[in-house]
Formats: sequence, C-alpha cells, structure tokens
Amino acid sequence: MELSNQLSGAYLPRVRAFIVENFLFGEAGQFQDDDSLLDRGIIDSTGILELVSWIEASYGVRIEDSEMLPENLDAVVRIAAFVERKLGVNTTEGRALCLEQAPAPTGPSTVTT
Amino acid sequence: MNDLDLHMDCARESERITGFIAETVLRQFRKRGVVVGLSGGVDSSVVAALAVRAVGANRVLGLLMPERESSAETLALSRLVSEHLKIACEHEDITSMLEAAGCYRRRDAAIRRIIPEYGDGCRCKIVLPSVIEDDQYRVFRVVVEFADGRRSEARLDLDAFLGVVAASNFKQRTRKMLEYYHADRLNYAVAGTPNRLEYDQGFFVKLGDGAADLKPIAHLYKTQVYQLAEFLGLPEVIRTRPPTTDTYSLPQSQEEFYFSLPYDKMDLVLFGHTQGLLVAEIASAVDLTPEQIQRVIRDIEGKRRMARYLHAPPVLIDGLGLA
Repeated sequence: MELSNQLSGAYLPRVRAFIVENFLFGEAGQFQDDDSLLDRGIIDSTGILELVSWIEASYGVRIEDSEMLPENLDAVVRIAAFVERKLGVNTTEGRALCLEQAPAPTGPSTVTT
Repeated sequence: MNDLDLHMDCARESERITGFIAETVLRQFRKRGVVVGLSGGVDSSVVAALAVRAVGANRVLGLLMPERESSAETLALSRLVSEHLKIACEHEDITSMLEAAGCYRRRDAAIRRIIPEYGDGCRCKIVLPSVIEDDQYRVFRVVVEFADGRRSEARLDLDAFLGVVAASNFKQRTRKMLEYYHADRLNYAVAGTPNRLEYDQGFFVKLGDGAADLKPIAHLYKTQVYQLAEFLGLPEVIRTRPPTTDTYSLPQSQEEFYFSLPYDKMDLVLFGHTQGLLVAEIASAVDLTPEQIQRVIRDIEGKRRMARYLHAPPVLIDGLGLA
C-alpha cells in the first residue's frame, strides 16, 4: 500500500499491537498491516469508537468527525500514518511530542445552539 | 411486476399469518391466547389485529407500557388500537420500575461524561449522521435540549455510548418482563412485533423487544406492514404515523437512530440487495446514485454482522438432542 511509504514507522508497532491485542485477542495469524479492518470483520462500529478513543487517549489528539474516514482508520498502516500526520511528526515539535509521554486527551467537542 | 415491487396479496398473506399464529400458539405451544405490547405504532397494531383474527379478540391481551419519556400520543394511540380491536388491555406505566433499576440515573450519568451541564429538565436523544453522503464512519452523537430551549450536541466516546445504550435497554427489557408476567398469568404466548427491516438489521434489544414466542411479521418489509394495516382496517392515524423509536425524551426518527434511509427506500435497498439485484438497478428504483447505494449496502452488511450476536441463542458445548 502506498501509504506505508510515507511512514516514518514510529507508530506502526504500537498501533499494530493495539489492534492485535484488542480486536484479535493476541492471535494475529495472517493479519497484515494493510488489511482492511472493516472488510475482514476485525472491527465494527463499536470498535471504531474504541479505536478512536484509544488514539485520542494515547496520543493526546482530538479526532474530528470529518477525519473518521476509511483512508485514516481502516488499516494499521493507515492509522499509523494518520497519527503521524495528526502529530506533525515530520516537524521538530512533532518528533519531540512522540518521544514524550502522551499528554491527556482533549475533551469532546460540543456544539451548542 | 418489476423486480423491486413489494406489493403483496394482503388477503392471502393475512390468511397465511393467522394460520401460523393459530397453529403456533394453540397447537404447538398449547397456550390459550396471545399477549402483544402495543406502542401505538403500525407494527404492534398489525400483530394485534392478526392475533385477533387468529385466536379471537377474547384471547388477545394488549399491554400499554408507557414511561415518563414516552411521547404524549403513545398511550392514546395504544388505547385506540385496543378499543378498535375490542381486546382486553392492561395499562402498566413502567416509570417506577425504570427508576428502581436506575435506568434514567445511569443513562444521565453517561451523558454527563460528555455534556456535564445535562441534568433535570433536560431532554436528550442519540443520533447518527447520514450514511449516504460520504464514506465517513457513523458514530453516535448525543443531542441535549436544556430547559431554556438551547441545544447542545457532541460525539459520544466509547464508555458514554455503551453506558447510554445499556441503561436505555432497561426500557425494552422491562416491557418484555411485563409481557411475560401477563403471559404466565393467563397461560398465553408472547407475540413479538419486529418487521423484516428490524429483524434483519438487528434493530432490537436482545432479551428485550427481541424476545418473543413467535414473530408473525418478521418476514414482512415495513412497506408491506403498512399494506396489511390498510387491509386490516386499522385506524388511519395508526396507518399514517411515521415510525419512531419512542425511547429517548427528544423525538427521534428511526433514520437518525439506526437506518440509513427512510423506511420505504430502505425496504427497497434491502430487498434488492437480498435478491442479488445490481446496484444500478436498486439506485434507479430509489433515486439515489450507485455510490450512495454502495454505502447503504456496506452499512446493511455491517449491521448484519452485528445482528448475528443478537439473534444467537445461548451456545452450548454439545447438542443435547432435545429438538
């Protein structure tokens, strides 16, 4: 998959470990990093929520609804690349951030009318 | 008849279902009648009317089970149906049972995780964004209306979502508990009221409205249930009432809570997909693009995967030969 070429690789092992541990119960089998999580039935709509909550809590980022797309979340490589983009890992700040302990996640965005 | 025509011979279908109810209740289960929970909606009204035809009005009990967050018309419409069908009915307000179980308290605590100002005098519902516009994953949001009319909306996180759903499910399970109380008391069977959309897509609570001794209209699309309602002569207000969940204190359509499309289009997409029709044929029939139909079908398949658990009976290690 082309996205894997854009990765620094910093996040892939942790993302893969989370998916394998939480959704495959430690049994990775033939699971590949570019496998579609939805098409393979690995996660469902509740699983998406679990994944988003984990990313937000682990990396201290807020994922907007508009970012909850298959191209960002439907495979280990896509998730890792998405996290990398969210953290701006190619910048000095981003690299520093990913080496530190993750900050507390931001609160949920609320729209009031 | 084109490939996506859901019109049916109502007289024939009515006869088939009433035969099924009589055979199942009286001869197979050897019960003396049928309990139906009446919601004032078309599904439960049709099931009650069919049960009357099958076993007689004097052997059907309608249960009216509103709670403090039910819509104002729920009780009146349920009563209207029971009077129209000339069946006995029992009014069981389940509010106090839900309070005792902590239904409202637990749900409200889950909502406050996301909207801390939520409290007394507020109303709420949970909603899903449309599935047809783009490929974005659909994640539930909570909508809160404060006493002064302001509204606040936010995405639910995993714990809040599960907490809201788990607490709200007390409503369906409490109603089912009462249906079985009356069924046991009268030696009746309990008729479930899901239509095909709900049954296929898992739009029910396991051991709540998903529990029943028989489900006489689970093979009928919602459009067909409305056809039967007309054939059976149910009151017009019932036949024309839009489907609603009547689970949260704010009005909530079934589309914003669960289904991707209004029921008439959803029926056709589910029917076409189940029949193996081409996406382009379905798209043409419901006036959507093939891309939009693909998204709806992905949603249908995802819900079917989740429904497997809901439909599954308890699993045993070995069969016991008790068939």
